[in-house]
Amino acid sequence: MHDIEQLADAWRSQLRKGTLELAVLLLLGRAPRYGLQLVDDLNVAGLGVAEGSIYPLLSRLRTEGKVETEWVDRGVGHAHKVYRLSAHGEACCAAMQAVWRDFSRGFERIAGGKR
Amino acid sequence: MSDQSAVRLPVEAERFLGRLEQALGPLAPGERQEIVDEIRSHLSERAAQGATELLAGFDDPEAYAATFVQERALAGALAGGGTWAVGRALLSGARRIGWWYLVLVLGVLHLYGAVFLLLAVLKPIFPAKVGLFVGGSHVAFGAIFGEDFPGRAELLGWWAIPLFVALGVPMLWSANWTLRALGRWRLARLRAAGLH
Repeated sequence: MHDIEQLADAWRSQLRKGTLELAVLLLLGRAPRYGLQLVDDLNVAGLGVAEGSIYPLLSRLRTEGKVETEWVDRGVGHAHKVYRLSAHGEACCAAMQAVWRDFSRGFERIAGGKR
Repeated sequence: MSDQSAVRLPVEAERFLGRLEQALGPLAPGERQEIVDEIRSHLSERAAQGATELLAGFDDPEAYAATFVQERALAGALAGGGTWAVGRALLSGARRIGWWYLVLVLGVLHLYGAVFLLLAVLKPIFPAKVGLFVGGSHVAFGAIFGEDFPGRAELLGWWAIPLFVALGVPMLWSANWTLRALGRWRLARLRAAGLH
């Protein structure tokens, strides 16, 4: 039983790693966010990541031109580095989402026993 | 970028940020500062929310910095750098001796490939000095520009050129292909390892 739980955890972790980029792009497509907001939103959605994990990913997305950044200081608390989706990021997100839908439809067909 | 100094963080968080900044040393100063500022902003907000284990979601600062530094080095080398840049990027994050041996072997293979192509270019310029030489008990393959040996004869003639090309091109290509494949594999591992 313990082994099965470990297997499920390991698999969940692999799935999360594989889909985290798409999840972040989708969240940024809805509204600009800073790192901590993304972490909290991902956790609420059950796609929890360790807090530090988000920044190397965001840094890579910026290098790849998928997101743009801006430091915002509203004068209360501390400044935040806010990320927004770029035009390239929107295109990547749409393409990834299409792949994901195809994949999940195919998977559902198998899981649901449909042909 | 805004002033982050207004928020006072616990000593261990400040120590983490100091070590992080140091470990991010290979990055450009502006880039390094921006990463540190962003993590400071994150920790400050968590502290303001009343969190006590501020650093629970972060690796130790050196390992955490390595995810930024190595990722950039490898991604940059794979995107626009040559074979040697990819090799250097692979070595910059290598902690196992096996990586050093592997990259060294591929580097030597690449070097030999380049030398064979150079010999193919030199053959028409120095036909008597480049090729396969035998004489007495001596055999030499390549170029003889220094010490000579008596009674030597060059056996390949102009066939040396296609032979050098046939040796050099696959060596260069296979070393380059293998190093880039290793680079892509390592990059994928780094990106996956950075996600917890």
